Amino acid sequence: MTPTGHSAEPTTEPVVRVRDLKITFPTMDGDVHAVDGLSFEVAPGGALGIVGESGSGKSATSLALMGLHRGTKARITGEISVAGTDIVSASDARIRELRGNDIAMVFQDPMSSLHPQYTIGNQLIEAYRTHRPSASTAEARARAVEALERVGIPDPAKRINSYPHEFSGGMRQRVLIAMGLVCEPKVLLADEPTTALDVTVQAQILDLLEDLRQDLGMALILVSHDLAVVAGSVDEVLVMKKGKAVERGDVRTVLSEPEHPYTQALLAAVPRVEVSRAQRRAEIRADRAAREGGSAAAPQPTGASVRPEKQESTTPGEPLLKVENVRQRFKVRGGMFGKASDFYAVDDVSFELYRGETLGIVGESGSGKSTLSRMIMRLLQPTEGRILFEGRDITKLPERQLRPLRRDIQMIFQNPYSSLNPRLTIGDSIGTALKVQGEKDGKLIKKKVQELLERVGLEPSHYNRFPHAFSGGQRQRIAIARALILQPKLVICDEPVSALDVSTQDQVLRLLSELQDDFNLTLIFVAHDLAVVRQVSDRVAVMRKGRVVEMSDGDSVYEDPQHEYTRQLLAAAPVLDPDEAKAHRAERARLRAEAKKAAASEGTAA
Amino acid sequence: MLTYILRRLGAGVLLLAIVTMVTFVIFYVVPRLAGQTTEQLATMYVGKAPTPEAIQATIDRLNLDQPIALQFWEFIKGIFVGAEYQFGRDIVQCSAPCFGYSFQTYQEVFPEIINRLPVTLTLGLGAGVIWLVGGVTVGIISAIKKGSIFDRLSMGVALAGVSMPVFFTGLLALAFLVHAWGIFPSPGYTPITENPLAWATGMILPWLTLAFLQAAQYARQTRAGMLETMGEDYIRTARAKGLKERTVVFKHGLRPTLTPIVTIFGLDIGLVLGGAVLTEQVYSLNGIGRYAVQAIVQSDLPVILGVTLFGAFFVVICNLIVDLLYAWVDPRVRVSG
Repeated sequence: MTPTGHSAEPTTEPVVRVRDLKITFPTMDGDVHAVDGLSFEVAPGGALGIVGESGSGKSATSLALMGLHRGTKARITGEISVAGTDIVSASDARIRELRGNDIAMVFQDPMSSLHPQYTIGNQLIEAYRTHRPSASTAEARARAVEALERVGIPDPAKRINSYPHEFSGGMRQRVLIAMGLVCEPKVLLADEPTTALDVTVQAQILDLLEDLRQDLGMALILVSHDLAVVAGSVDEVLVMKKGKAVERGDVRTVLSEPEHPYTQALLAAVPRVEVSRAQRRAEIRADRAAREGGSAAAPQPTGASVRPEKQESTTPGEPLLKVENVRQRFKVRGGMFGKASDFYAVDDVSFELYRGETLGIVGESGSGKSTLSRMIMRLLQPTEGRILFEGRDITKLPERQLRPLRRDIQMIFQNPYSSLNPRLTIGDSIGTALKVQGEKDGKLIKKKVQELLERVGLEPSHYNRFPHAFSGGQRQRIAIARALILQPKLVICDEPVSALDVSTQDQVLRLLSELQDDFNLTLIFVAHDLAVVRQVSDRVAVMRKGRVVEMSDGDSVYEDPQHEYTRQLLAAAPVLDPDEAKAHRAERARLRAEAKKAAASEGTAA
Repeated sequence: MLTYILRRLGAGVLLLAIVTMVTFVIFYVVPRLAGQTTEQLATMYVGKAPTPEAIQATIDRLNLDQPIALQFWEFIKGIFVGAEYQFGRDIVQCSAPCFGYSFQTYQEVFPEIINRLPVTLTLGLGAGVIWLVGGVTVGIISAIKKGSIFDRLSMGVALAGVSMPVFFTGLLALAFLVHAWGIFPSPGYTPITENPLAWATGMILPWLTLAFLQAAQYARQTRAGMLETMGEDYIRTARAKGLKERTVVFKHGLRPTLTPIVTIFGLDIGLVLGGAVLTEQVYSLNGIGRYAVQAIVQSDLPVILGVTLFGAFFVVICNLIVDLLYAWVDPRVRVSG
């Protein structure tokens, strides 16, 4: 590590210098100041983290560093200097020379940031030859292969001829990083490079960025909404809110002694894997009691449905849901002359779920967790095994008989932007379920919906608004209200917070926790984030490749993981303490080296 | 890739077979279902004087009193090996690809279509090139200079173009450009082998008329597609690499935009080659479309049937070509196809 990256030492000229940057977007409703008087510097080889919620202006800032606001309506004032060139006043030709050569950018969404119709080789070679016009194609190709190798793409000489859709999300992000590296820029600008990725892949990408920075001496600007993501990778951190820097300083100082209330709030919102369920619940109840005033001693405001604590709830009779050895098979079409082969998305999973209990299911994309929840909803029919709901076998019920069941099992989906019908008012969206189930009294529906809106933290007057008027977090509240309106016996949450900013995520999780108290909800909570799952779950199941590799009560999964894969997941989870993050990084490197060694010895044995 | 091509070819052949069957059903079976007697049906094929003898002769000749399956068999056989018709004392030969025999003009349908094919091909392909190049070019410029005078003007013209039918623009062009002002020579078809210059000058007005309608549509499609593509993340990536704006637009932006355009173009060209009915009629070009119009006016069923099949054939062929092109343009199709 190079802990000398303090900006206080003006021995070298900073490679990036931003002074009093203002970015203004003129709109119909007047000017919007996306960035308002921002200043920072990055030393050569240094690393800066820019942290803020969506709308804080962090992405507008990174685009400005690349001069990518040119040709848009954005007005930019102030000074941006990258590798000695003033981005605000330089000619278009000069900016083009700079892009990719002196400063390269890695974008958020690796799935859509590569051109789908050209091979990755074509795209890499193009990046190289743009800045080295004299280089031959063979030379550029060699450089591209080298860059791919550098970012850990296996068999790069062959893979260079592949198209983006032939790579996974993590691999595509590596390709994008390789594209940034190919001209060895002085600054690498990564805008939410891991937000779309799984925890373990996120850890790999962050490790890669760190390695590259060490080896190539590049400066790194890492932009994220999550303080935990930047904690282990940067020397200095800048916290943005509404276009202004509210706090800036050494990463250790900011994380351990945050001065600004906003930074403190952001820190508090980061889900911590080390906080147990009981602690978290106690905290939320205390907060709630304080907020609602009065009966701080009895923090169950409704009183009627007091949620039993975990210890007491172990003596219920009939489980609400019983899943027995279910499997779900999909046919996979083979290669050129391939025969269809079977692929089990869920393979022999069993568990029981009791009333009032919350089961967390953790796994990465492709682990089968969504398929499992779809089977329980009976949106899919299990290939094998049985599902019993309230003692009744629902595995093969025909659609007609499923109707009453749909009322009892509700689902909250991942993407709050696409799961609400944009042409229905939210009142209609929520009320429709009541109507479908036979309620005819329009006034009663409206009253019920408004009560629920209030309960999930929205205003009753929002009844007639359309989804576009709401933020992501508010939309997820609407989705929760929609799921709860029918007073379901079981609610399945499929990644309900993974599309949200850390602070919004925290609010939605708190809401769910409160609703568990109020409605005695039985929840299945599916997510890829271990810390999030721990906060809400009584029991946790870890899934991998369709199987449950580990399942026990929440705390023991985290404190005493039995399975190797659980340990990997825990090691990959981002942590707030920079030193601990580094320890984790070393641990991951060790695990990888071991895996490589094991693979190598297997290879020689074979 | 080979399996993909073979599969598409197979699908094309299958489609042609289905089209043939459907066409047969429409012309031979549906009228019966609608209550037409064998005699009434035969009357449509007789030609000029529907005397009872002539009708009976037609019934025998076309096997109209035989079971449907046999009729279909004869129909298919005619396409592959030809057919013979008893006509009074004469025997009329309809050789190998026999798509029917017109008893009103006493001519085989297929050679008639082939004779007219150069006219339709010239018209369709010429106009196709003009509308594709013209429409796409205008669309791209409009998209890049969105909101400019060029954009507004061309999109206004395009809107007008889409809404004006060929028999309107064509007649206007004839009245003013040819007759009143004499800017263009009188349109007509001269074989290119005879006089290439006359071929081109005679066709220029029909080309422009047909292309104008289509180009308008293509310009609008290209503009919309281009605007969407230029907002994609990979365009931002391309800019962030430091590429010239020209490369960004023409290499990264154009290809995804053109992908759907290629599909529409294949369909449109196929339709036009099956007979650009209105354009040929307006300019009195003796192509397949005009042949069809004449046949319809005279209720010459064998000709209508033949032209229909021929048109379907072009649509299927063009679609096949598009499918193959598509795999080349968009690599994602290759694996999933």
